[in-house]
Amino acid sequence: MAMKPLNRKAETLTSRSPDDVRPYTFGDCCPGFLPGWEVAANGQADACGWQADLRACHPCYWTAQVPDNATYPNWMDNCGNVAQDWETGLPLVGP
Amino acid sequence: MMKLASTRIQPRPRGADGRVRSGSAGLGTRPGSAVIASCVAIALTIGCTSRKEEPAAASAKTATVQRALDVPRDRVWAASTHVRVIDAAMGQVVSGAQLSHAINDMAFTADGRRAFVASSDGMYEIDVETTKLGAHLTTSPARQVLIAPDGKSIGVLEHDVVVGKDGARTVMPFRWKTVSLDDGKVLSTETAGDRVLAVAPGYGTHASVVLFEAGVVMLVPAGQALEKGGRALDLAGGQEPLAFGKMIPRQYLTVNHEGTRAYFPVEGTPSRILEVDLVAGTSRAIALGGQLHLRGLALSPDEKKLVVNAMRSMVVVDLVTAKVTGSIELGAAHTGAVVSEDGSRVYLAQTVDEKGGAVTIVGLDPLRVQGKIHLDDISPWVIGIAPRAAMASAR
Amino acid sequence: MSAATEVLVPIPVRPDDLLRVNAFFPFEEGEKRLLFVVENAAFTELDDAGWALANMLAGHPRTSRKATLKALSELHGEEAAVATVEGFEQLEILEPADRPRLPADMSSFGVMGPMSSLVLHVAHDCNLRCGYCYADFGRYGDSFGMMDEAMAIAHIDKFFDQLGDRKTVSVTFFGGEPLMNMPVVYAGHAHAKARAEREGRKVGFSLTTNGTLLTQEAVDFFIREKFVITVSIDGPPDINDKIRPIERGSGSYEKIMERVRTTGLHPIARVTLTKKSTDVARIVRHLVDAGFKDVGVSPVASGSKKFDFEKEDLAQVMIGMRALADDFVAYAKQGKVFPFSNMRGILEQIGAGEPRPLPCGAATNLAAADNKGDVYACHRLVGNEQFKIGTVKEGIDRDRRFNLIGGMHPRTRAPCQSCWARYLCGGGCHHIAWLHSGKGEAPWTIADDFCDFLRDMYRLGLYTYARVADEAPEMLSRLKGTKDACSQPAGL
Repeated sequence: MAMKPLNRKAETLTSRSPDDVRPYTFGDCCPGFLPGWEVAANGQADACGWQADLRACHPCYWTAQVPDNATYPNWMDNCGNVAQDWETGLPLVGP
Repeated sequence: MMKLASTRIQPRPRGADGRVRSGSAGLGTRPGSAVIASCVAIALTIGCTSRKEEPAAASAKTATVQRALDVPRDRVWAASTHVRVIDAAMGQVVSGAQLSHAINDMAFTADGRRAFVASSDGMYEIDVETTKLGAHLTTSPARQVLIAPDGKSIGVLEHDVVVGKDGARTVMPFRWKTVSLDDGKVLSTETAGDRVLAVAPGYGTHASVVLFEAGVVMLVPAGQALEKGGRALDLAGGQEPLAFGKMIPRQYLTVNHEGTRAYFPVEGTPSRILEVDLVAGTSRAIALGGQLHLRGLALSPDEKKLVVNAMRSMVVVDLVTAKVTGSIELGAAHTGAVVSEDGSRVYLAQTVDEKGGAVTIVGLDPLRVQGKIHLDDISPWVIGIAPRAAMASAR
Repeated sequence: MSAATEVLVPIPVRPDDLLRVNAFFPFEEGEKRLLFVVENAAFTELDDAGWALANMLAGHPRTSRKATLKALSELHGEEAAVATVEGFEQLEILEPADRPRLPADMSSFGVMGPMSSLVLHVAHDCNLRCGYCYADFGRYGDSFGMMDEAMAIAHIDKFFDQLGDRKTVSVTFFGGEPLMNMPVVYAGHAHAKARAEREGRKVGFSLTTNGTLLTQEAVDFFIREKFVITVSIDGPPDINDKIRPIERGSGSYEKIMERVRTTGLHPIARVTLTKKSTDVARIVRHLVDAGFKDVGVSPVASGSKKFDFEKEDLAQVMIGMRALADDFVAYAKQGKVFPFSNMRGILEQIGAGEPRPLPCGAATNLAAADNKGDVYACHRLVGNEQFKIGTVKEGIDRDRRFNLIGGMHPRTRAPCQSCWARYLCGGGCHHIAWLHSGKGEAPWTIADDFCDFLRDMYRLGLYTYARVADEAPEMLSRLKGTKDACSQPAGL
């Protein structure tokens, strides 16, 4: 074995089965209208994007990766079934 | 405060030899781009409990709702980018409409014949009986639709995004547009402000309320143009104990039938609902307690109760006493809320359930989860009820 | 009318051979080869194949999976190569190059939730005159003065008002020398206790003192009310008395120890390490033997060349730390925890493996309140306008708190971004960073020498942890507990 996990984090990471997909929950993040994470209100990448995260996204941290509904109103258009469509339906957005 | 594991998991495809292949089909980042838009590269761990409340399913497609003698045959509309109409008594999807645009809000005429959705492609009318797409009444991305109390017109909150040559995006000021329900013509358009979440209009006779993404809520005096603004409401006001700092209003604004009272949720410590009397121009806050994540709001048909979607729970507020009378855990995350026409139960959209979504049914008396109707092909984030009789309800 | 928004097209699938190499820190120490993953805080021991892979990947931001497997197979055989590469992928050192880049988990601290710890500066005065005092002998740069009872109660009330659903709260009496204002300590304690009871919360109390004014009455009260008492003492008499003189000029050691022994207190010792007291091993061992329940050291932050560290001093401190690490392992082999809280804290943090984006609870969990009615990010920063976060009248200013925390996050600080220990250190004590940065605008950063020292400390911590894993594995479960990201203070 290449690694001997020494701390809890290493143990957790190395004991996952590759098929072990944890169910994710989807609050209101994508349909939510909060300003997105990296894409800030001005449509540009926000160097301090953590602000949106700290303000309201923190319970579902990852959702901070979602662009906001005002700047990208069409972002979810191809994602009618999130669980199935996320791979193909959600486009990349950038500054 | 919930603690997340920092693991980020995707299903790892296995090759023909059974070995795990790295790499994922999906989204990429441009080199140097700081920005990502995958909402599921990370897995969340919290609380997506299995359907322990769910009654036995009649088939893979449906879940049977417990049948009582006089269970209301509600037609529940659940929407994401498409609409699915569910017969709540049967626990089945009975029809649907494909829109292929993100739907943000819906409204129904009082006679229950016509439905309107606010989508990223503007406002569409949908015939309730046939669920066929009707007129495409407006074309700019729309966040909110609201039928006027006199039933003659419908208001829509919309805006445009201007994309420059270099790809830079400018969010234009939001507009409140009024469209005639008789002939579909635009009756009026006015600027509402920058990055508006929702509007409770005054119809010229009383004050209006405008909610902003920035966290400000304006009470605009009767007869004044929305963009002129008004008095910023004190979101922390009222009789409950002092709370620190900024409150965050969410977009789930709901108004009573006359359009004279507006309610909207405010996240903060403690979270609360603000009730604005648009005639008197006053507001009061109803404390919900704790730091809830507020994701939906619905008035009961008799307007005596307010049902609050607190994402993984539902809170019931008695509007007469302005007190919380009960709350119930829902397990998974939900969006939206709508009360059945007889006031006996609440429907909430569980956006993700297995590979699709679901509608959760919560009885109000006694307060308990009655069941869940699974939806195979959409993950709903807006929910409404098509009225059979007098009242239209949505959001 | 409006410009139609453009249609966004999904990016096509990328080839799955290209892997991104995320930051990791491999090192050899003793006979061990260890690896720490920078952004997720996973810590593992490597075998030969793992070490070879680590060396292969070092310095390369991307690699081809096929090529890596091939090269590793040639050295260690196919089976080991596959297992090793998969292991690195599990640890998230290697990931598909087109997988979105994600910052370290930030949600493990309730940053903008209610704060849980209130530090009350009940006395801005002190009966000692230690030269390095960051409190300027208790004044915190302003005037001497005591907090009156009404102010203490007002602070407590305002603090409790923002608790929301929190079930636990802690109140610390601080100064200057809090024992110089016992009436307010008693009053504050009574008020907080009553209010907590009314609201169904648990309140814990603590107090930091120089120990010279302890009375039997006070100690009986502390023991009865379960106060956690910390006594500031810098080591054996020859070290302590030079730095911590009683006002008349004689040393405080005898007085402290006499008071502690007579009253029957069993306190924690808090040591300030200075240029004049770098023999940390001797200091800690002495205090452990003297019977202190726990010993914690804090490097001085006085802003004065007389006391502050230079590179050679820090090297001396590291020598002492290594000796103390040996002590820790020796104790662990006997099933005991060496009561040196710095080391234990680092080991617990490593054990839990949660990346820490902030160094402490300042402004997230902790607030410090002074006699003038102002509230600051922490007890070290009282009187410092840049770290003021509110007042007793108006409460905590959410925006100020928010912006302050943002300015202190490692992501906003240039040197932190390239440091392997950034999510262990969290950026370092804000007070120290402020001093090192010449007290300018945020973001404040710690100077190079001190950062080197901190990295040495964390490296020592990692190695010590690995040793305990080897030589006293039963102790590990005590070190792998849930360590709140922000409850390990960087200063003290």
